[in-house]
Amino acid sequence: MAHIGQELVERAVAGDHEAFVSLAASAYQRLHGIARLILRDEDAASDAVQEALTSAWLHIRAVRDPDRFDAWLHRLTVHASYREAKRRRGPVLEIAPAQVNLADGWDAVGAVDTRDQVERGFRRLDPGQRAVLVVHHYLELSDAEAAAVLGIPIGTMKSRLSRATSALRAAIEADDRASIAMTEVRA
Amino acid sequence: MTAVSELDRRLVDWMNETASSPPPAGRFEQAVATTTGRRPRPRWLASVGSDWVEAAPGWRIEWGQRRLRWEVAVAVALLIAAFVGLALVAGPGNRAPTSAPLPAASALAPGTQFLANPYTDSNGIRDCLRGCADYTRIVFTVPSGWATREGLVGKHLGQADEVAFSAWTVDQVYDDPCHWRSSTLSLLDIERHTDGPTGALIPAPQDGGLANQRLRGPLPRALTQVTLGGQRALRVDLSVPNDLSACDDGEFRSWTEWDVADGANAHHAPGQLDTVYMVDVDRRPLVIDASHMPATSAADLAELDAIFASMFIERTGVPAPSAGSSLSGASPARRPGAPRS
Repeated sequence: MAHIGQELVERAVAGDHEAFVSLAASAYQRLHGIARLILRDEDAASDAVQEALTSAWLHIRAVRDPDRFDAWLHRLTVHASYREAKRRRGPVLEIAPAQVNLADGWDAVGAVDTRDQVERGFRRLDPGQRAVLVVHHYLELSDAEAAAVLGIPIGTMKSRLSRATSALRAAIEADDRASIAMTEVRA
Repeated sequence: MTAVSELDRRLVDWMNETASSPPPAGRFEQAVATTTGRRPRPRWLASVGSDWVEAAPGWRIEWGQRRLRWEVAVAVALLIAAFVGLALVAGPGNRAPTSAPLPAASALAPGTQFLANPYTDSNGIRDCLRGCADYTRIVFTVPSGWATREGLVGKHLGQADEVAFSAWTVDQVYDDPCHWRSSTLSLLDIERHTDGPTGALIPAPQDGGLANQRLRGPLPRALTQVTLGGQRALRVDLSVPNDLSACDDGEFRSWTEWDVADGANAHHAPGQLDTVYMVDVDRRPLVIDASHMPATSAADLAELDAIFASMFIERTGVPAPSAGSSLSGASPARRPGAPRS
């Protein structure tokens, strides 16, 4: 963490609310991204991040090492997302599709297909499986860091990651087979 | 490029794209508003429930542990002072408790006792970071001869004729409780048996969960819908193998808890018989595990039945009926660990 970030954390730990708000502002997009990926629901993601930030402020004096502050926020957000997922069993709201930049010259139709396929496969995973994929692939954490954020042993994290990856692959392959079958029927 | 790395690449691209969309307008301000005007907990209390991510270096851990010991010592001293102060203020004429909190380890006086939700702070605010089951206390009446130790309430604790019960906030269930280190995990049964729109419990065959846990007795294993402590619950009867020597660390672990790394439930003794109640407390699970040994006497089992019949699970704003009145909603006496069909 940069010096200015450390200073903000130290000020927040000392009870400086403005410093905490600055830290929260710089982390909010990332935390919301984590919750959005785990929950696949905009409103639920916002609630989860709000709960995580509230908890962070109430427990701010538990911070012992400013360098671990981000990891702590990630952990609070992941755990808040688990709880939000439990609270909101049932249908979820759709996420607004991201913009595709046609100027990049890539196969826009193919990219959308791929994205939708990953999206559909990811939706079939439970929040725990999504979380392990998010901390590993989106946050790009090491195994030890990912395990710390999830609050589980490294071995458990690795096995969950392996199972989640397998489950995602199976879901996408099933989606592929369904698409092929649909094409053959139409032909 | 392998199929796995191709999948990883597609996944990373999709995640970055999805996560990069701006959050809904106004929600950050709303989140900040919930912290405005609230004071952080004092340092000695802040660690409790903080979910702090500890760093690895040894000296820091030692320093942290020393400080934590000081914090715990201060917290205990303050709690004792608070109890003494309350006792003095209340005076003998004003005392009207109908139940008493369980001590950490001791014999229990006959009468009404309670297990307080450990994830609720002194202001009655539930710490959902650790335990989301929305109950305040589990109130029950014990006869003479019962004791408590390490969260267990029981009789003849640690002996061949033990009978006991305990409450748990379960995260996931080990599919193989003997080889729990390498075991896959699945959701607690009740998590899959609640119908989303209606909230009704649907005890049906399923994958995973305690109903399919390995080495826990004959299959198929029935999930029965019951009422415990005024709440809906699913009940399942389980057993523990007689020889645990080949199990990981010699321990038999049923489940993990949200805040306990590496699994939690290691209370199982070889040959133990369990009846597990998965209680639906406002659609959040609370697990109450009633256990006994093959050598437990019928009289002690009858006492356990009576305790469970007296049990009331208090929720926020729904206190237990006063002592002496009937506990409406309590289940009829059911013998935990009764013979399985």
